[in-house]
This record gives sequence, C-alpha cells and structure tokens, in this order.
Amino acid sequence: MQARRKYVEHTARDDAMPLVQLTDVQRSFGSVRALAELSLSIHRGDAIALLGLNGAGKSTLLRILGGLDQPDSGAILVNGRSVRFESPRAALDHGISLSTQEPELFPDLSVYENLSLGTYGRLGRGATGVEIREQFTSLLNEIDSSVDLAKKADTLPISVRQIVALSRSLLSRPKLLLIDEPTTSLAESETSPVFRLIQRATARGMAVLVATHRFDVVESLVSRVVMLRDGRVVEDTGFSSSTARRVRRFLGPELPRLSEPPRQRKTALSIDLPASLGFGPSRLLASAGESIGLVGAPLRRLSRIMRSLAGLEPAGATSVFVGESAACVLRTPADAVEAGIAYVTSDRQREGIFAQLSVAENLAMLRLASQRGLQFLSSNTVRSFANSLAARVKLVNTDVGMSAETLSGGNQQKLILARLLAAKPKVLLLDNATRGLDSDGRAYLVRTINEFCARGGSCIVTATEIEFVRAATHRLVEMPSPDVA
Amino acid sequence: MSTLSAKIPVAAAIVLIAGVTAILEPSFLSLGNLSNMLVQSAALAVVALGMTFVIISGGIDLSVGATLAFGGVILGIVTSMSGNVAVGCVAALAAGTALGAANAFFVCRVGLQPFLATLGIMGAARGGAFLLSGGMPISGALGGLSFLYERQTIVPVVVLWIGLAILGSVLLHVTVLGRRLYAVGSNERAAALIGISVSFHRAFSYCASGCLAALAGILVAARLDSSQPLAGNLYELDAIAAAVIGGGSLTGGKGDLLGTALGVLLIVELRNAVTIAGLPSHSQPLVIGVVLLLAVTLDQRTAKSKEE
Repeated sequence: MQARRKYVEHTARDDAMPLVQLTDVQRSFGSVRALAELSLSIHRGDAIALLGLNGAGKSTLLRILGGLDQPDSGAILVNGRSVRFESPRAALDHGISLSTQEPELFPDLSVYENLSLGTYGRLGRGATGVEIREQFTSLLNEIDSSVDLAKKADTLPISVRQIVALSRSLLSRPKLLLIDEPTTSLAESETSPVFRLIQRATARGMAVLVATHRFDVVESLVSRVVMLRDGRVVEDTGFSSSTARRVRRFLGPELPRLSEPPRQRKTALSIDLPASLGFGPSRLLASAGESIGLVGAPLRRLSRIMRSLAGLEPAGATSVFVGESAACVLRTPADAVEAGIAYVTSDRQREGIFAQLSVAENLAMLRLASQRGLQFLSSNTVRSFANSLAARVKLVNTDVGMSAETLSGGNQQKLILARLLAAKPKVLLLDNATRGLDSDGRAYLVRTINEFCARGGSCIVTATEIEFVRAATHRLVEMPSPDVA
Repeated sequence: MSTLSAKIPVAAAIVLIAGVTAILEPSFLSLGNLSNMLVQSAALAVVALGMTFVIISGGIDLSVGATLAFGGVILGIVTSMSGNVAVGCVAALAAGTALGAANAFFVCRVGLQPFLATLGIMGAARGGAFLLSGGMPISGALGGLSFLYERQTIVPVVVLWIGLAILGSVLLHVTVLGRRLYAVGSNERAAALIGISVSFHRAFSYCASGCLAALAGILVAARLDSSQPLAGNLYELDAIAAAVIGGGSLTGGKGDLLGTALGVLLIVELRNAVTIAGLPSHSQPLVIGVVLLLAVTLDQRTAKSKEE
C-alpha cells in the first residue's frame, strides 16, 4: 500500500510537471526573427507535430532543443530545471535527441559503427558484440530488412541513411525525440514501420516532436499539432477529425493540376531498363508532353531507375531513345546530359549545389560544362545570364552574387531546376525532388512540370507522397514487384 | 568569386609586421631589402601558385618540394649533356609535368587519396633526384640562367612570378576552365552530374602543379648555379600555408592567386624580419608559427563576423 501510494504520487507529479517547458524563447539571425517569444510545453508521451511553412521557425526550435543552436533570450526548463544546451551532447545528457533532415552519419563508417557510436553508451554495459549486433539487426529489420550493417554509410541511398539516423536516435532511448521531417525519403507505403517504432516508444513514455509538411505524418503519428507562423505559435491543439481540416488548410492550399496531355500521342521517350535494376528487362514509354509517375516499389528502387537514366549506374547502363535520335547508352552523367536528360536530385547538398560558389555561377555551370575550356567569359556575362534565369524561376530575395549555401531549400531547388532547364532538355527526371519542400515549393514543381510538358517535354516523377505524384503526372506506371528477395 | 575586401586582413598583417620590424631596424624598409624579398619569394610563389590550383579543385599536392629538386637535377644533367640550357629547362618542365601526371594517375584512375598518392610521388621524386645526381650537387653548368637574377630596373624572376600569378588569375577567373575547376572542388558529384569531367580537371591541376614546381626548381638552381637534390625541402608545407592564408580551403572550391601571393609575401616577410631584426636564427620557426596562427585566426574571425 505504502509503495503504491508513492508510485501514484510520483506519476501525479510527473503529469503536472512538463518534461520540457519553453517560455518566451527568442532567436534572431541578423534582422530576421526566427523565433519570437515562443512558449510551449511538452509532456511525457506527447506526440506533437510542428507545422509551418519553410522559415516559420520549426528547424530553429528543434535545433535549440537539440543543442545545435542557443536562444537569444527566454527560458527552457527540463523536468523543472533551467537548462541551456551548448552542444548536442548537453541535450543528450538531458535525454533529448535530435534527428536532422540531412542524416548526419559518419560517411566512412559502417552502419554498425554509426549505430554504436550514436547510441552513446546506452546499450548496457557488458553487452557483447554479438548481442549488440542482434539488437541492431532486429531494430533495422522492423523498418527495412535489406539494410546491411556492414555497409559504409556513404554508399547508402539517402532513404536508408535517414532510417539509420533515426534508428540511432531511438537506440539512445531519449525522453524527447526531435525529428525534422522523419520520412522525406520514404514513400507513404514505406513509412508505417517507422511510425510503428516511434509509436511504440511514445507508448513507453517518450515524447516526440516532429517538424513536417506532410499530412500523412500528422494523421498517423501525432495527437497534438502546434502551428507556427513567423516564429510564433499560432495554434496549439489536439489532432482529431474535427481539427483535421484546419490542419490541412494550414499545411497549404491544394496542389495545382496539370493540363491535359496532347491528344496526338507520339512516343518521345523509350527506355529499356536492364535486368540489373531488379525489375526484370522492361520498357518504359512516354509521349511528348506527357508526365509519368513511377509507383509500386520502394522509393529507393524507383530512384535507381532514375539514377540509371542520369548515367549514375555505370554497371547496368540503360539505353534510351529520345525523340527521333538513335539509341544512346547512358554510361556517364555526361551521356545523359548529351541525350537531353535533366536529373533533379533529392540530395541537393551532395549532388546539386556548389556551396562555395555564387548563385550566378551555380546557375551558369551546366552551360559552362559544354563549352570549350579556354574560352573567355566575363563575370558580367555570367551575371546577366544568371539574372535572366533567376527571374524566370522567380528566385525571390536573391542577389545572384551571394554564395549558394545561403539559400533556403526551396530556393536551392529552384536554382537547380533553372540551371537544368536552361539547357533545354527533352526529358526531366524528378527523383523525389519534393524532399523538404513546403506546399509552395511543391506547387511550384507542379507548375514547372506543366510548363515543361506544354513545350513538348517528357517528365518522369517519383516522390514520397502519392498525392504529389498524382498531381504532377498524367499517368502512373506500376512497376513490377521485385523479382529478387 | 571572392572580393578584394576579404584580402584586407592578410594585407594588414603584412603592413603591420613591416611597421613593427621597421621600428626595430629601419633598413627593413629600404628599397634594396624590399626588392630582395620579392626575389626571395619567387621560388615559393611559383610552387604555391600550382598548389592553389590543386587546392581549388579539391586535392592536395605534397610532392611539390621533391618535384622542385627533381626538376633542378634534370636541368643540371640535361644542360651538362647537351650544353644548351634551354634544352635543360624544357626537359625539367617536362619532367615536372610528368610527375604531376603521375599524381593525377594515382588520384583519378587508381582512386587513391590525394594525400597518399602525392606522398608516394614525393618519395619517388626525391629519391629520383638523389639517384640521378648521385647525392651530390651538380654545379657550374647554369651560367646561362644567371640573367634571371641580374638587377636591372626590376629583377627578371620577380617579373616572372608576378606575371605567372596574373596569367593564372586570368585562367582561374575569366575562363570556362577556371570556373569549372572551382565547381569540381566545390562539389564533385554535382559537377559530374551536369557533365563536367572531374578527372580531367583534377589531372589538369596536378600537371600544372608539377610543371610549376619544376619551374621553381629551375629558379632555385639558377640562383645557386647548382642543382641540389635536397632543394625545396618542406616547400610543400609553406605552399599549402600560403594558399590557405590567402583564403584557400582544404575542402576545395575556394582560393585564388592574389590571396596565395599575399600568403607567400607574408611568409617570406616574416623570415626576413626575423633575420633582419637580429633574432637568433633558431627562433625563426617559433616566431613564424605564432604569427601565422594569429594571422589566420584573425582572418577567420573577420570572415565569420561578416557572415553574421
């Protein structure tokens, strides 16, 4: 009896006192206010979605709680005690773990090593290597059984890196898990195992705070939504059928639709996929002005098709007929560029942006790739070329002289599109190009595809959200189910 | 493209050190000593220009000091054999370029880390210089190059290195090739995806670096009228330091030749100042190390505060 009462008192106190309490937290970058007097309390077991457009302050809030950034003013209490995290380590010491949108793994270490380093001594002292390995395997198996513990992180596609990073966070058994866009590289059909793991942890009392643009994440994961605008909480409410419509509206207007494809169907693109891609020998066709969406297989496998079309799978090179031209075999990216194929990557940091170079040079670089090396070019030529491109894609608030790393994710995506479209490609590949984009960014992509098709181009789309694939394409192509185990 | 204002901290450091040294020893600022420093800078500057190309394209070249010695020894041997110093120079430059090509082969084709590949070539080139020269200086054949250091209104080597720096800057900043070098160094994958040949641009930078290192070997040998197999020892580190002081980044995509030239001047000035101020010569490395740390720290601070 005595013991029981003690237990009750204990939980009662726990319920009364929030796990994390933020009061009037402010953070500015130069003249930009990222967070303005933000207050929020998080209790044990809470599953909260943090919503808002790019720049609303979601990432700043997560970075502050995760120890990657510090507030200018305001108080953060963890279990009633005032804290200030100078590093992610300090946050981890208080049981707060942050899983960022760009999965931060050690590129040259294996999955196993990444998991053991990240779990920060919480695997139990004296656990043997075999036991630890089993623990990792069983965790990863629940999400994706094809992840190989021995593989180097750098060799993995971004979707798997994201899974590994998230697993690492879960393994450290945090009291509060912060996630910036948990599933930006997973198709909707692939997300449920990830969500199940997170739900199981919240049932044990872990709180989770998820920044997201996706309604499916809100719908299947959280019980409470916090909406941010201009660094303030504009609404903090439970998620239920009665608030669902409001949440949807807050996430942004519906995507625009494509115009009808041309009546006259003329095959403009014919792709022979090599069997090595795992779909058996098969053929994809698209007519001029048509946009097709690939569905039915895990995004990572669909992405391999797209990458082989970009010349990035030298082992199993794909051959294509573009327009009237003879067949080309795509062994290198240069082959693909030559054939008029433009590949828009989901991995903007690693494959898209020249961070140290100016926006102008980023825009002009594809053009420079095909010119003679010793040709002179003046920076004025580059600037005016870049300015005309920037105006065409409506890169707002941008001086083309700035370095490209200062751009937001949405603007980086516009930059990459502008660079590619300037070369007047015949085929546009969007390989989960919506990753990390808010509703404005996604709507922009659909409009771009529409214009591209109206001019007779063909487009192939893969994306995490089926809703986007539907909006951005005229026709879905169900890929045969994998013939390999 | 980096702006001139980014060079102010390094330039200020050069002026500051000059001021302090001039107070201790006024002859530091004499025309003779200033021109002397420009002459002393020549060999390091030529090496550092090549290094900057490599660093911009995302690599590093540890073999330059040894290539300098190898080029010098080839110059000595070929000149003695042919009796024609011009033939010797062409042979030396060709040898340096070949060593650069060897670096490029191991980095781009075999796929070794640039640090390791160029470390290996460094050993090969230094060993080759010793083997070919029998470990002894080759002297007396290079009278035909003495004009390089003759004092007319301006010493020819000074014209040479500053001219090369200007030429290199033109190549880097206003040609397509130059801008692609930056792109390759900034993001190799992104460059490859839009059809830029990463290997070609890497290879170009290593060959340029090798050729320029051999040219520096010619300058050093001409000055001493002797090809020394030990010449250019540790030049690679000074050259890297100069490029980084001048704004280069070892992760690639950043750096320019104006900055590198200022970096070279700062290093040479420091050496000169320590000597002329009468500090004991063994305190030289200490003073240089401390001042370099201060200069680079200051530079980073100002760069950061500008970003905020």
